[in-house]
Amino acid sequence: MMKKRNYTCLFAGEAGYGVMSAGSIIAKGANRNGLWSFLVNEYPSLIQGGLNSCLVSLADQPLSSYEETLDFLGLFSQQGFDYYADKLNPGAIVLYDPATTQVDESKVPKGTILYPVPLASFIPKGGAKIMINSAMLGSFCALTGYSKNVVIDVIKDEFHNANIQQENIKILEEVYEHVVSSLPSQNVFPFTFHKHAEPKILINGNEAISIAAIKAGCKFSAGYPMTPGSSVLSYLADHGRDYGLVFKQAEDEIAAINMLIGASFTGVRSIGSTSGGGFALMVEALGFAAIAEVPLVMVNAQRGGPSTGLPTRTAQADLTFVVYASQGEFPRIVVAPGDIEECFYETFRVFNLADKYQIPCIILTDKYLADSSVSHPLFATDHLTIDRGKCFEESADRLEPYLRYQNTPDGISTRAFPGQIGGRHIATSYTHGEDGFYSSGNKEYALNEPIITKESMDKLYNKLPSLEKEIPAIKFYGPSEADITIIAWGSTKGAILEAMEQAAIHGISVNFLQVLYISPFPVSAVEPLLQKAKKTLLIEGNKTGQLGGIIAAHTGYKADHSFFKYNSRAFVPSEILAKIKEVLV
Amino acid sequence: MSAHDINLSYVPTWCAGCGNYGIINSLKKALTSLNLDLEQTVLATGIGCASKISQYVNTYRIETLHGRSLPVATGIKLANHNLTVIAEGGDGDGMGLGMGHFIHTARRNLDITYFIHNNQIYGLTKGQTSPTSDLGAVTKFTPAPLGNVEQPINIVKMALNAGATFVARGFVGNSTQLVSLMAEAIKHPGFAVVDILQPCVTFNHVNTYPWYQQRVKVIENMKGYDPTSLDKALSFAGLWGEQIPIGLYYRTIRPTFHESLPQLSEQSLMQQKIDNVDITGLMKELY
Repeated sequence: MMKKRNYTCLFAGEAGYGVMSAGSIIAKGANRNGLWSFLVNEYPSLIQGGLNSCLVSLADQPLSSYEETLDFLGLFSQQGFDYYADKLNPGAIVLYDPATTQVDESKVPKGTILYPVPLASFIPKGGAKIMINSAMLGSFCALTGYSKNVVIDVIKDEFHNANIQQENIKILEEVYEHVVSSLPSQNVFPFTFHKHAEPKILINGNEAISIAAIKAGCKFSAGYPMTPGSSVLSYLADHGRDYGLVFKQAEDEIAAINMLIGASFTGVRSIGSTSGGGFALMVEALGFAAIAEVPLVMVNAQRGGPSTGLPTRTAQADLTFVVYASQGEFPRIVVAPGDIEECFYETFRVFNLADKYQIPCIILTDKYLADSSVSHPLFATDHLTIDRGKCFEESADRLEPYLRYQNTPDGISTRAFPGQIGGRHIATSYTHGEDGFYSSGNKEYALNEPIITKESMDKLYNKLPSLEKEIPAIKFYGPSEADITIIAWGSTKGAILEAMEQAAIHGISVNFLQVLYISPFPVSAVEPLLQKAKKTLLIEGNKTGQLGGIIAAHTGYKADHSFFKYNSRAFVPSEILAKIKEVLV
Repeated sequence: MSAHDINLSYVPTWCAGCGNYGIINSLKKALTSLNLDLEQTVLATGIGCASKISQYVNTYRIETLHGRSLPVATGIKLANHNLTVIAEGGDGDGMGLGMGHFIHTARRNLDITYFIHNNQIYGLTKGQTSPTSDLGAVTKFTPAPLGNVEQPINIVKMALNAGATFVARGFVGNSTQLVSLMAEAIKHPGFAVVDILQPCVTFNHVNTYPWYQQRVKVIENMKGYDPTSLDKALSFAGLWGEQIPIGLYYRTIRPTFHESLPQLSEQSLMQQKIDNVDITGLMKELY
């Protein structure tokens, strides 16, 4: 087996120069023409200035992660050179505008090709500075051999205003000619485009979650902007009119989750999306949804914390928080998708689970998964069906009273929605009996309070056996026996799978236990695999090993080795491979 | 059980003489007078003595968190705007934790009716200062001799300034007027607020039945009354102490929130079919 071949380019510069757009055009063009793209944005929390970067890795087979080893570096600013100069592959091309960027040859590896192009000079007088990215794209095509026409086709789709489109294409063509005529052609781009390739989507985690929500019949969303969770909300806002969905921007996250509870109580599937700080504000209502048995689907796209933390950078440090958040006790679903596929299919699944078990569901992602765009085949949806769980049948002449919280062997009672004939009831945040009634001061109730209290708590937990049977709680990759077993969750998956492939080339056998559903914790699935493992390596994007703690709490097992990364950036395969080698020495 | 059967068998746990008895009776009379289909009516309450009202009225009901009746009511209304949605709670619940929601629900003009039981004290937690407690009020958390040093919130003024389209003040001791105000508020298309003055017989020994009775004045009989004028309404709202106007302060019509959303023009969210949603177009956008 050979190491996967890829071509990685990175555009870097201040916010406002179209750094992201340059990268996404390259990624989109490749994605449309038979190649596979993986795009990672890094940006600080500001509107102008700073260092934005957009890394695009391209290959002729699917990619599940990236490395910051660059074949092409397109610079819009000096800071971009200073930060990325030591991340170049041998023979890499560095494109820069000498008017803004001084390149120091001693800082780059031997054999790096440095190309000055006066990018800004191609913008017509009075033209927007953002058009410099078309100059960048023109020189990129000329220098690498990436098809100029592919780029132009994407630009034509991206810019709806004909004038802007033509202006940008003109700049691109001019720069292209300038570079081709003044510099020797490189033609280093290693892949061939296939015009009539099977269509693929270029999609990030938040888009996959949003589309899955729409597919699942979600008709209401409420939220408050918080990076990196917001783009689920803006996606739903954008598509609300076409899909009969309402997104309501709330005054704060507390209002948002309570609106979701109101809509869900009324019978409409609803989703919220936030990050750790917003989730913190929602916690009281999370418990409300649980005790009132109102289905809830909430995305927490993690960013660095605590507090305001690192708004635009990735982390995996909210796991114990979302698993245990709230006063009191109640079962909840916490699913941590590891890739685009799981963002889509598990989101669809949790909408059914939320309805069926009438419990809160948290989809735990992070900035890296939420915001990185990956080429993916179209989602197959024929097998997806809606399951709304036990629903009340309207009836004007029922004899026995309707009990919203009737005790049943599986803990699940029938839901009636406001407007249904014969289903009037009270849903409540108080601990309550089968009829939803609570009052310690009420004589009949007070006598039975200890019994009702215990029964109502048992009712919630009686849902677990059937829920646990139904969820695909873990995934296992690699040979059943291996030199080392990796334990991880969430977005580290891609880098781990890539590292496993590389380890195999080096003759190291690695398998991987991905804990997909962390709550309810899948003890019976996890325990035997851990007992069988020769040596384990716990990989997490936090300081303290939060999944490790949860595993220990449920099984008593402690991983042999750990690799925790909490420097605000995602894991890459090379560092995981290095750790595997270090551990096995 | 008929759709108009409003009574439940649960016995309220309010103190003897509590204003909440008068309010629940007025609410039931108002609902009955409107001949509302109670299966199509939802009552969302917060937490507190006042909010317990949802335990005793036979509509669909949701007893939310402290201070959160309005966002829950908002979700209910947007999910099914054909329902009659009423939010209810006390002055602490609504003007303390709930204040942000109150202002935003008003400016959005959600078609929700909001009844605030205002007794100027925290009852269920046993007698602490409320955001509407008068200056100098002696409570558990603002002991004598100093008492409360914070300017109280005037609910009517707040509602008018925030953009509520129906603003009234009722007094539980004038049940004829209160029933009619509550019914008018429920009928009003838009955010309708009724500040309902009520005594707390256990913890507020200043703002008692006689205290109110000596001060309340029916606003319709006061000089210069004009419920179509925001300025007039605001000037009446400034009165407190010697004279407390009760009745309809202000009423106007502007589009409600759900009316302004094109996706709700044909049917409610609840009426939409959710099987087989076609996402081919969404995937195409990402080619």
